[in-house]
Amino acid sequence: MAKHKLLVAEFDTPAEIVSAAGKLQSAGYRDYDAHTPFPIHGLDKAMKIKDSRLGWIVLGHGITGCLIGLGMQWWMNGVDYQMLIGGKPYFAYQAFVPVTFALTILLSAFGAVFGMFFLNGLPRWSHPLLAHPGFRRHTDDKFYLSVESDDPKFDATKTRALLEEIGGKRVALLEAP
Amino acid sequence: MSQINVMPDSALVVPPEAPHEKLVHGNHTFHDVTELVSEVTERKPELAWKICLALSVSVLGAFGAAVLYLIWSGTGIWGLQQPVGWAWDITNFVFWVGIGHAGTLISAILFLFRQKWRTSINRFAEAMTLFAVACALLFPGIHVGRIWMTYFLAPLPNQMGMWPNFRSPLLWDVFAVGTYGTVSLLFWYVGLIPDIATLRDRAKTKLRAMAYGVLSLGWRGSMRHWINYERSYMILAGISTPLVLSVHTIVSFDFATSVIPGWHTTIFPPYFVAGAIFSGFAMVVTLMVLARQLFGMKDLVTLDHLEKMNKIILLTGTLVGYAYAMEFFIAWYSGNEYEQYAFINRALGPYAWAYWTMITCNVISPQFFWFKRFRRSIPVMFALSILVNIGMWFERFVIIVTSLHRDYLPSSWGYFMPTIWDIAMFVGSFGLFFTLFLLFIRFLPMIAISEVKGVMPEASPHHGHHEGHGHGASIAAAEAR
Amino acid sequence: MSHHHDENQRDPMHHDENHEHDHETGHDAGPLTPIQENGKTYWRSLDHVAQTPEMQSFITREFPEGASELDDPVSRRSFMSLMGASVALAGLGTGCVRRPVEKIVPHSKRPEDTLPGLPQYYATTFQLSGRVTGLVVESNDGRPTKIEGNKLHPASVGAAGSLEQGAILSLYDPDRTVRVTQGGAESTWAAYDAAWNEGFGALRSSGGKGLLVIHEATRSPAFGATVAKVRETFPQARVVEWDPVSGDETIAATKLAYGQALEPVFSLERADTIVAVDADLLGAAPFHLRHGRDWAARRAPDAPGGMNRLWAVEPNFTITGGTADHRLRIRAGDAGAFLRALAAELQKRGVEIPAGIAAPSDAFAPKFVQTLAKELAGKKGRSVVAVGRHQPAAVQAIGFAINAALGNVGETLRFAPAHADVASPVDGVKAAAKALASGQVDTLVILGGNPAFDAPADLAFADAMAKAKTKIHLTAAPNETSRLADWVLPETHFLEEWGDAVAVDGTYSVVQPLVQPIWDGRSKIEVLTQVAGAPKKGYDVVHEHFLAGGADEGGRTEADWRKALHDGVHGGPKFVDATLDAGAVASAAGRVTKLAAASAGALDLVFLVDNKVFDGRFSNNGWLQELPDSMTKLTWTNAALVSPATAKELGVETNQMIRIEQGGRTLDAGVWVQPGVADHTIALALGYGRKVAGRVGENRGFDAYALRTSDALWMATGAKVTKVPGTAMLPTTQNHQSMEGRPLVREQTAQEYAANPTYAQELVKSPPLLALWKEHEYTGQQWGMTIDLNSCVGCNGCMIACQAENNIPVVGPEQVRMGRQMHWIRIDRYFASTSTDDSDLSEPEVVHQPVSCVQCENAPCENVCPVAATVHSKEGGLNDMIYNRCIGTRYCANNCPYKVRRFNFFDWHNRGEGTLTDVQKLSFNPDVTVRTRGVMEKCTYCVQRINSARRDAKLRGSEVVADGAITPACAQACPTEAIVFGDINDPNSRVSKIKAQPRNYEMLGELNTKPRTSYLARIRNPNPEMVS
Repeated sequence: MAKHKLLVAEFDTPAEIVSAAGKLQSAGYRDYDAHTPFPIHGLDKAMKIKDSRLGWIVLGHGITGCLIGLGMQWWMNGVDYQMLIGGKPYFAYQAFVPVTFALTILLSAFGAVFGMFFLNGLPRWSHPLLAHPGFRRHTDDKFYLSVESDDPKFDATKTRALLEEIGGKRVALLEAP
Repeated sequence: MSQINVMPDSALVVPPEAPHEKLVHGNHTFHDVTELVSEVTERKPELAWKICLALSVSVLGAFGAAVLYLIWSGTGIWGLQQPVGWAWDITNFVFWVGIGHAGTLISAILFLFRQKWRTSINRFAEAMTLFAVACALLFPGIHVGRIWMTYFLAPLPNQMGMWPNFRSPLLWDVFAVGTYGTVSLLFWYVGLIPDIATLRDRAKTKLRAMAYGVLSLGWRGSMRHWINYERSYMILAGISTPLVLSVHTIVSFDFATSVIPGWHTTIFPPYFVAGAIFSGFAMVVTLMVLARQLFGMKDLVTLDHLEKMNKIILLTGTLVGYAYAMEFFIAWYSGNEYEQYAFINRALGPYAWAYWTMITCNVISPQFFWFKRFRRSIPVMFALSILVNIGMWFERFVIIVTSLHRDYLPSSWGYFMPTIWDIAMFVGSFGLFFTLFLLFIRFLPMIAISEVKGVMPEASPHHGHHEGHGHGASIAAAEAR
Repeated sequence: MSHHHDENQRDPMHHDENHEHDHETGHDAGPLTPIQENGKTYWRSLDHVAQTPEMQSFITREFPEGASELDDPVSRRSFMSLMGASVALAGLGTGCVRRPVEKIVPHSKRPEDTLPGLPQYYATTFQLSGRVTGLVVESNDGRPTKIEGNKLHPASVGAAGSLEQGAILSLYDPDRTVRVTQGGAESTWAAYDAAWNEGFGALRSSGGKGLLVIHEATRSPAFGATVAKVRETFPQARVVEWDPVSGDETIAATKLAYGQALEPVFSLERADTIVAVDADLLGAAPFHLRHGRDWAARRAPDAPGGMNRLWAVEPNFTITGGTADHRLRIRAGDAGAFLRALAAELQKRGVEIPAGIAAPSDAFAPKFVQTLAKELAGKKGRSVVAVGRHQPAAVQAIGFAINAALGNVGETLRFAPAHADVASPVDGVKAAAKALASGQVDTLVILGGNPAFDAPADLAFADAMAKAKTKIHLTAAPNETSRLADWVLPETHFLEEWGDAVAVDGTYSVVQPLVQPIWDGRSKIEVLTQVAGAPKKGYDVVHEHFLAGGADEGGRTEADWRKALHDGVHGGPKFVDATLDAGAVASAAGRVTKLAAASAGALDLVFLVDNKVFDGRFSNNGWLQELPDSMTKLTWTNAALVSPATAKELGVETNQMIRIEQGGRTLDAGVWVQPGVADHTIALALGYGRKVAGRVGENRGFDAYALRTSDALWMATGAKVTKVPGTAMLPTTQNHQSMEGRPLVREQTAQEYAANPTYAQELVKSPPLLALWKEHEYTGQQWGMTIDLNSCVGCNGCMIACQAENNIPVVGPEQVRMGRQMHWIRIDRYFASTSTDDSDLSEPEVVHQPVSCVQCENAPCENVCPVAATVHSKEGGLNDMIYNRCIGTRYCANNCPYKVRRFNFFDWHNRGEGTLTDVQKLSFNPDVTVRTRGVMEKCTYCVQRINSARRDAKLRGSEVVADGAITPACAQACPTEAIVFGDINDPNSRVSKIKAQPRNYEMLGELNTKPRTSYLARIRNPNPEMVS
């Protein structure tokens, strides 16, 4: 297939990019994205982005952590090497709560962070956008829309026109190196 | 994960209500904020910073030497004895863990409570948390008699076929504090990613571009990423909240589950948590006051921020004072002669000097914050915040040493006196703390750039469109409903 | 018949040919050079022939005083090579020299009855300034490691005191005299022998004129016979006995009262009322272990024959005074006047006191004297009045008279012939000093002892000694005297030598070696035979003297000798009848009057025999130095003990330095305020302040001998005190003396006990705690212990027993001051006020409570250990320490309510006073791990003994260990049998029966720790009339 390309347009304010993104969406574009220095509320609605699935990942991790914590203590102190300690039962669940809790939290945290990396496809150190010098300000004070060449409606000239029409400045065509 | 569901619209980091007061002073644009924060990490380090670093590093060096000597000749170089088997070592541990609470607390709990003012200080506080926890973890590590055997604490298969004893509060500590350290690190790092990306994009030198490039994981501010990012941050905040409350609870179990009068107390968990928040906030104030002076961030970290912190110090300080009083009441009410003696001995015994130092610093000094004048006075809050930290160190000393030095059998009573090495280790740990801290403020954005931008009025997509129609945020609020 | 380890009777092992000394390994030359004899060269060992590095360093080792000594190069290997030597020689030697071959268990070929790894037990006898105690010594692979009492010996009855047991460490003292030296230069026995023989002729022709022999006190018949031989050979020679603390007036007293030299022997088990007048019957007195056993036999409130009552009258707080039901503080000099006052009260009550003895006086707490008199008058033949052996003859004579009048003689007080008829203990040394000072002495032979340090100050012995031409000192360790001697000869330790001794009741016992002399020493007897002109082996002297003796038993045979070696004793006590010479006593009593009152300006001095370093001879013994004194709990030093009232009067307090001025002599001492000392009295322990004593013994405390003169050996009056700047470091193991009203030691009076026996169990104030879960059930044999606070006298015997058995390190005074002593069993000592004001300790009561790990079933220490280094054993239910698992968090020690856990803050064995040399390592018990730095340790109930008993039971096909088959070291040493150990699941075991008693209680049991060690409440038995 053709080389992977992107069209990038710059906007100055949150308001501009929210409305522009809305227009792009209603124009039927799907494979596009917004790049902003901070999350803008409303933008996600304009782009009709589905809710994050991260919560389920974390839940899974949490349950696993809980089971590992309790299971480990049950196996180690209760089964594998029984030791008579302070006259307590071998499986003294009252005493096993703190470690179980800690492991639940620990694994949940791993789920939350690495799950997010997974959903976002991070780390990804090379991306055509990052190569674009004008694009640098997306982490400072500028707002960008990028349309992927994979989008069925993508057309180098038409899309460029549309972007300029909806207020995009300094529209540029980037090619993956 | 219940915390997630309580959020009306999880995609929003900035809740709809308008800020009651301007969180960022001066008419700064997004770019100004970026400049203000990033510039610190880019300009040539100023002399003051260099001197501080040199100082901290040399103290850290001394600390290292002291630890080596400790390992070489044994814990006997400390003043420890029978009956006082723990003294400064564990005091320092609890002290640092306590300080380590502010960061995650500010980040997590204030975040869930939508305290937007947190954005200017959370990064700073989280960093402080990490470094404090690092110091804390050192002490349980080096206080043992056979440091080279500490790996027995981990549930590793070994030639003895033995496992650690999960009934021991000390092992709970290992897991609780270990988890806390890890989660705080992740939380901190996740918050840093967009800002590191900012530094990456501003990088002038290849090295910076490389370093920040790698650390930012190729962050490109994608809205589709922000959605997951926000959720991740939210969840981290959600699980860190019970965690931060649990850590000091579990630390307090070291004492609460024992049989020693003065340790064996059910009030310890809440009392320790309050104390931890208390000392943590005090430490944040101490450092913030210095940092904002040093790096001219008065507009981002405003007096309002500091005043809010001081209010929390007043609250927690008073809580701690209540706990002190309650301990005495319960001791009397229990009718247990050993219990009663332990507390009378605390206030009137050989260590009365330590007890009253604690009361003065922790209970009396914060009361000044009832007055707005003092809450908003930089010198006063600076002095008080330091007093509070002194007091909180003494609190741990009093709990640990005065309970141990006179327990059940008068024949085995003793009096602990610190040696030069006890002092060296304590002072030394500050060397580690400040070294890490100075490196942090030099090489990483000490204020959460993207979050600050997020709470600026300009951040609202309706900003600037509706002049005359009242404040944009009210519409935003309407829209949210 | 070989000895089996499982037999709890540690009865001595049978002796066969294998246990006799080989003459060749004797003393013709040092162990370091080959023996030249009959023109042949005999090598000590193959090592020696090969000149291995070990042997080289061994040969070229420096003097003990030398710096290089700090790392003692005697390796176990060279030690063993010395042992092996005897075999080599057995082979080499016998070819040409016809002498009975003696071998000492050569491990190069396993003799019968010797299983490597299994300890063996031999009987021997320990003499300490005339105190004779029969012992059984445990030997591991040829190394004596543990001293225990000999059940067959009347003075021991199976128990052993701290000094007897501690003495074993002196065997391995790295600072011992290791070879002959002349004028400080290394020499050999051969050279010494040559020098002696050279001068011998001259001496002989002069009939020994100018020969002076000074020897320590001894009760050895063989030694006595040898002394006689010396007198024979040298009619002109002077042979005198000097011993700073044994020298007592008792023989003079019996001669005065009975016209013959006798030894009084008390039978406390027969006495309902015991009166100790300045007599430490349970502490310092000869037979103290026996006294303890007999006293305890009548101590239980339900004891057959009823509970006895002990009255103590003394100037200083002794353990006898501590256990007394009534105690009266008097000045040492007033004992006589007190006895006369008592006699007067007795007379009033119809006791026929011979005329001229009674002298009424109300100067001594009239109620006390009257009540006592009334009680005694009703206890004819069932009471005893014991007077301190150091009290003047006349005073002791009055005591005898009172006993006679009460009809106690033959009942509670019997007499045995004195070992020797010595006049006043100081006459000898006085004469010797005079002769020396006037330059009449050419040859001075000092056998043991340390007169230059401990002779009365007024004799200036050291200066006088310098005048002798040739000074020869046989000494086990270099000291102040050997420093002045020309020839210093290594003396054998009692575990290295042959000898014999007679106990005060006349029982004969044998001293036999456990090991060949480590440093090639010679015994006193051997050196003395050389002086007598016919050098002989100790073995021969003792053996021959044994066979020669016993005319009354119709001669003795070789078989008797064997039996004596096996049992340690031969024959029984020899009591004689004696009739009181009332007139003589009366005339002597007439001179006994009350002293003029003392004051802050004219104080009494009392000199004490220290229960740790004794007369100073144990100064270099770390175990004994670190042992806390029974009453003061001081370690590593002595102090000027004064009563609280006197301290106030003098304006001094504990640690303050004072200067004591007595008869122109001064001494600087640190003050220790000690409740129970008589007012206006300063009690000073002798034996400290050594200047030449070895690495740990020097400059500890102050030298009280400096104030001790020949006319006032035990008590002096008119001393003055001035404060001097500075404070003394007085390390103590207990800083807090009050029990704070807590129910730790629980006590009641016999009357209260009769009314409410379970009182002790009802004392708990705070509500008991409960477990959250179903507690573990302990099945099978479960070990437990009881400690009877009623019979514990606080003698410290258990502490040294534990230290020896469990390889417990010494930490030194600095560390003790920091609270880091390592004793697994300690004896808590609390003072209680007898007045309404609790802070008033002028007339204190004292309680002792031995505390070691109580082996809680719900052990708080176990819960908190993160690495499970202390867990419970299912078999036996002990709280075990796993040293190699311990990482040293010290959490367990913090959480131990009994504070019995001990932490190795440093590597004690390589540090300060605890530093071990290789030779000291030989003293370790191989059955017990030597702990390293950074681990926690504590009492194990002597688990090594439990396990060996279990093993032996299994070998005999039984899963059950018989009751009494296991005795922990502490229980074994205890003279009063206060500690009992056994299976608490067996209702018929001794311990179960004791735990069933109403007096039984668990200290801190309300914490639901379920301690396996429980205590029996102390019952005091005051005279009802004194209470009301």
